[in-house]
Amino acid sequence: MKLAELKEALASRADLADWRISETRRKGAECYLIGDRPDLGRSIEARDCQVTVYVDQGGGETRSRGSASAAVHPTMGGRELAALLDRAAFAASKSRNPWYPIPGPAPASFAPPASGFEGRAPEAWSAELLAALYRAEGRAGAARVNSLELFLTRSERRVLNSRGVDAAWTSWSGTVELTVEAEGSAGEVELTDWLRFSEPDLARLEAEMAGRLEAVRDRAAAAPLPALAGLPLVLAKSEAEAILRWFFGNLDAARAYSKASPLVLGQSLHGAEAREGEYDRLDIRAEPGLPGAPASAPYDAEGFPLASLGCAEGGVARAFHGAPRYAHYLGLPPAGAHALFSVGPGSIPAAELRSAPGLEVAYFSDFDVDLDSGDFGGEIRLAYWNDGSRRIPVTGGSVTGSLFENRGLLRLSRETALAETMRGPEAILLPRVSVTAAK
Amino acid sequence: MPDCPHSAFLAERKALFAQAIRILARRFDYVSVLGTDDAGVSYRALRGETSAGEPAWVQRGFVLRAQAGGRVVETAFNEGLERGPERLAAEAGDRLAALLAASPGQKEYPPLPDEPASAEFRGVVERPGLEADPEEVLRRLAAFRDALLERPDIVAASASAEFVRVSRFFLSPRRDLFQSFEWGQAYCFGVARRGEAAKTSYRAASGLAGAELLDRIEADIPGLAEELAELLGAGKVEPGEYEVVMSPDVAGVLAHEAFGHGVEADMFVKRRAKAAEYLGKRVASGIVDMYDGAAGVAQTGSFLFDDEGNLGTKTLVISKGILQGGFSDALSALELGAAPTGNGRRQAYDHKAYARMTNTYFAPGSATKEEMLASVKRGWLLDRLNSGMEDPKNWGIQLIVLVGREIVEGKLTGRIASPVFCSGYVPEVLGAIDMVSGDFELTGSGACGKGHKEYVKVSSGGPYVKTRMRLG
Repeated sequence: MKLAELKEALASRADLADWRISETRRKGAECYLIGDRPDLGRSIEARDCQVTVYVDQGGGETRSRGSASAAVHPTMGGRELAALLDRAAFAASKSRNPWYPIPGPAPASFAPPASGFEGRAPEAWSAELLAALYRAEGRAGAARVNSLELFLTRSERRVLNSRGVDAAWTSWSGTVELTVEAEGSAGEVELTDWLRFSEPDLARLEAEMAGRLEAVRDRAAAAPLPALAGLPLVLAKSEAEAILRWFFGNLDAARAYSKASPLVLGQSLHGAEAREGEYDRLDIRAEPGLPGAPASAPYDAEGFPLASLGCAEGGVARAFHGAPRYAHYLGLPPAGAHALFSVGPGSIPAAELRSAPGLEVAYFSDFDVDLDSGDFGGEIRLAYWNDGSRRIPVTGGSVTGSLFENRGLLRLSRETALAETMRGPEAILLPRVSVTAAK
Repeated sequence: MPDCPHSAFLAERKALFAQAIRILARRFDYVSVLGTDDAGVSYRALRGETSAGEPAWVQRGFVLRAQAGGRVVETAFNEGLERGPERLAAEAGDRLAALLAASPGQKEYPPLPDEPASAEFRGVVERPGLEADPEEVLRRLAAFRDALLERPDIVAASASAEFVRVSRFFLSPRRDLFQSFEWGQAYCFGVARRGEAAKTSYRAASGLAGAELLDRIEADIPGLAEELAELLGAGKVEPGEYEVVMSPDVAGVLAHEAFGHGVEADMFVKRRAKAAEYLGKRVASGIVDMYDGAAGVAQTGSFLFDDEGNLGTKTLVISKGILQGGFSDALSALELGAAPTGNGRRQAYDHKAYARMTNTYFAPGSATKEEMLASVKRGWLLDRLNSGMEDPKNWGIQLIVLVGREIVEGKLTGRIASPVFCSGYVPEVLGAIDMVSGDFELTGSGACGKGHKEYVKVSSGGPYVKTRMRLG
């Protein structure tokens, strides 16, 4: 099934008020290594296509719209496609939601620069990327790479709709899932982590791996987490991102419309009880692109052009990002569904955040932040306990807390760094947490 | 009840791939193909809206596996079939050969076995979800949502259902396997808020089942509404170690995280499984039996054959507290010199196969839930699993549950905590199991990842289990 045939099939149907096609052509290379030896070679070449149909009913005040989505496989023939569209249109006709428009054509306001990977096939990069990832191993003493998986995919995205949208862009996505190990007094220990990238930044890959090898050495030397009370929690990287994503996620128009979000435009993100001087005010922007982030894109999944959007300024909610449909429902200007966000720097150097007695958790088993309740926590794989004079590696136990109890006391570092989908404070501090000892 | 039909698309392409396999077998020592055409529908009702779509599990594509000189390579694709078997074999063969050429230092495995096998399976469900009337499903989901939103403190609610018809063939020079079956899952989810206190909970139903799952969810809505109201008064557990009684879904995830991931055979190959040092040794109390298997029970982790063409089996992982062994994908079985257990599973045709769980559970014991609660001096009844995480090398474990109910001197006090973070050292947690109920209930409404990706449908559960864990 070619795109033109699909477009024609959709356009010929009188029962559809609107339609959208999202197509992705993927070409990817994958490397699986145990130690430093390749275990399995794989290649992927695929085309994925999703169609969404919209059916309107009634008119005037009672005008409603329903939608249904379905995958159109490239191997589908004409009869199979017709049956699929019949089913989708029928299902769409059974949803009667308040009417909303779909995006029309608009120029992109953000053009992601071409990735440095462009120009060579994904598999042609494998050797260089692996060499960079393994370079730090030689300097890591007793720490080593247990196993590693490398994925590099080039994707050509295209979004078309019945209102004339025809947006296309190319992106590169690299992912490394890695396990590092080191010998400790009680035997071998490991850490499993991942990193994502969109540029052939070999120095960054080497540094990221070096950091993980150092961390697993620390875990090998870590003591069981003792009973600690009243200490603040310091988080960095993906865990800091997860905390700050609670604010960004609740500034989504869809969550505001469903009343799941506790955040209200014009009100403080930090709660009514927050006292001046006790917290760093959040400045949050929805971003179409961040250098090095694979999710950078000029358009969202519906073909709406993305631009940098100030969602929170000076700690006050100013705008919702999210799918245009929900902005329409809320009577707000459409902003598009951003995958990326940035958070402005805070007032305190990261070194100062870490210098006071506290617990900095570097690796959790699985750090969880509940978007609805604001509860967060996880089991500790590696943390650093600052007892006032020493920085002691500790492991085991868990830490829990609530964002509602911490948002008025949140501290942000002055330095910023790229996490997976955020550029924001390199470290954050949450003072009210509960720590469960390892023993 | 009619048998689940095979995908007509796959049935029509079987001959093409059989011919392509015959051609490729002249070029490689081993060759096979997995064909997938998993169809599905999903429905959901959020506040103020309903919609229909397809679950993320929907896929149609192929993965060819070849072995030459011991090295194993794969190529995945989802188009280019119209050019016929010769072109298909030539182009895919060239891609496989290029992969072999690009990796001269790659690991060499013993020859992949290709014993003759021919089998077919067509599942049966009471009310096939793919044929359910969308209007009826959406109407019922909206009614579930509205029943929750009628309660004054419930600010957000959703109800959803998805039904997937799995259809896959596996062909090699000597194997011809075809299976089609349907699984489904339905959820109801609510958020209660009063001031700054916000709590969530859910109900889920799942299985090799169709639209009948909606009846099961409907019966649970009043209980969910009551629970959400209760949770607004929830406090925290004072950090410490407690006796805990786990509901079957929490206990099942304990089994899954503790000795499910820990005995995946590819973890043995990577030397990531501490369990390798404990084979034949005690890892749990003597009343613990634990299983994993696609065969033997009917839930969302059940199938006839895995994604590498090996028939599903049932593995006794722990017998009377003694670790018996693990389960494997084809390559880890080869490396370890073991028979494959049929646990080689892929997230989709374009993903690698790993050793993965299927249905993982503790075997039932002889106690009753009431006896277990009565035996607790000071502890918690844990229910409504939120998530779990494994640590196969160092045997840490994390479980997050949404509902903890305090037990003092054998009685529920009425005090409730949410969420409850549970952690511990796996042999200590399993070694402290002193009561196992006679109940048996599997839950297949979640998905299992390997590390932080590679999601597959699994189920877990079994009986109520009493042990000790650190809570916070």
